[in-house]
Amino acid sequence: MSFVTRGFSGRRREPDADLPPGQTLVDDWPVLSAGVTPLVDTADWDFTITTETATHRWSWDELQELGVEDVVVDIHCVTHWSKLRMPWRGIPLDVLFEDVETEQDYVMAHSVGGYTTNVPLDELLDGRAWVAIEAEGEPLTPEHGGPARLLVPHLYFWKSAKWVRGLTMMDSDEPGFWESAGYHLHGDPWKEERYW
Amino acid sequence: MQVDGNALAGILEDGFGLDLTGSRGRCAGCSGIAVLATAVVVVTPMGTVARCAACEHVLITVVTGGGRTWIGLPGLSAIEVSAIEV
Amino acid sequence: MTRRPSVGWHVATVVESSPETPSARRLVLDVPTWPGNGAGAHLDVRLTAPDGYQATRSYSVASSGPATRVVLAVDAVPDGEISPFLVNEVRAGDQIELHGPLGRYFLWPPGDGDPDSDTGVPVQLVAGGSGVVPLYAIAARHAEVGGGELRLAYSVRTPADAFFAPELTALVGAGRLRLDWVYTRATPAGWSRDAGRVTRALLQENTIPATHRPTVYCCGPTPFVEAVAGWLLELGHAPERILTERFGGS
Repeated sequence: MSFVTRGFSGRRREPDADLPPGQTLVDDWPVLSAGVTPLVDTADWDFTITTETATHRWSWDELQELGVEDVVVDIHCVTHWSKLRMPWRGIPLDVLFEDVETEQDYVMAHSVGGYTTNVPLDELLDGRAWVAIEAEGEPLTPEHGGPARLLVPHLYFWKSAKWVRGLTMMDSDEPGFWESAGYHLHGDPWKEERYW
Repeated sequence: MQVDGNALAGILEDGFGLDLTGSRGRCAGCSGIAVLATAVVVVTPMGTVARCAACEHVLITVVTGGGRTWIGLPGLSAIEVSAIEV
Repeated sequence: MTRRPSVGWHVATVVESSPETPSARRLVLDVPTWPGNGAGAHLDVRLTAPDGYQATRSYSVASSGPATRVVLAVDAVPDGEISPFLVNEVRAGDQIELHGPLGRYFLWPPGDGDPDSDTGVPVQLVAGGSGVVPLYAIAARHAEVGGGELRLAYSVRTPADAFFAPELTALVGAGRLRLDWVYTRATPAGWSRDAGRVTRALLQENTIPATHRPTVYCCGPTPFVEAVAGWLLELGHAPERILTERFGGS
């Protein structure tokens, strides 16, 4: 880099050795959104899993009855911030997939407002993903994806789709919104899978 | 940060060598025709997203990182470029 | 058909930084490779940190014509990454990178800034805050080359927040511009109207009527432009004669 602007450092801080490469620790919780924040009424909300043969559907109340779990996880946003030991509450996807029969290996998460993101099915199971409804002891606010967002903390945080409405099974690993636009199909922060 | 299509001039010029903000494009969502400068543009740390002002369909995405840039045109059927001359 | 001059990136040296309003500074830049720009154009400013981190933002150009002196006026947005740096840190002798000139849409004379286009069409400018920067460029250019009726409705919080106030006043004094101020927080002493936001009625009262078929250039923060553009349509202005440029904070 030959050109440097005197005195300019930008908003970034020094990387931290305990974090995935290129990440910086934050104490607050930055809000990122590429559109208008939708206001979702849980009375009109349901959650679906759509397979090649069936659509499984849960209302807001039915979802809570499946059992809400407390988890503490680290989250890593591709825009270089990480937040450690963050308390969440959510319904494990293992429970939701218990009675779902599918031959397909890939999942597209769909959100209110049209946002999509792709995740392989096996990465949503074995206690690695939740439909989250609370964070830091409070119901998820609309700007953080409430009433419900996907929580897949072992992948970059754009995979944890805000305002999630449902999951659709796919034969192949089709790219979602940001994955189509330049971001990595998989998004493992420890392998620094940020872009194509 | 919400702005408009004027803010895309630099990135499109960098990518394609053309300032397309004065050009008319057809939205693949509603089939409407509009000047690119009138698109609704949201700038976020993850990328820039331009939507049709009439129907909110995503027209253009721009992702920049690691010294690289991706321009996505998921919602434009076509852009008129013939008028770009002095 | 001739291709327009190459746009590309340019290294600019700050010649002068002077206070424009309590929160803004005017930056005069020397850009030896600048190809000149039309009135109403904008450019991208790119700042580079020693570790290679870069940040880019768009700013309107207050100057126009063939000169290699480029004038910007930048308002410091609270919590912004770029604008507070340009306002508070940058001083004469510093170098920044520019990409431009950009923006074929918002130029005057209309039709891509074509010098042969009809400059006799009435022009209504509507500015919110620092959105006056490209409109000042248009007003100054219009005064230079002559043309039809020219009017500016300028909404600012207080008299001290006005950009290019002496220059605009001089254009009014020379009979080149009709200027209508709207003060939203505080007015000058003895002002005929209380401070308050632009309304549809106020816009109608302070702009060229739609029946004169003016080209309208409106620039300001996104909510301001949204409101004004909506009222202009309601007042009978044709959508193709309303040109808009919106900005957010940062």
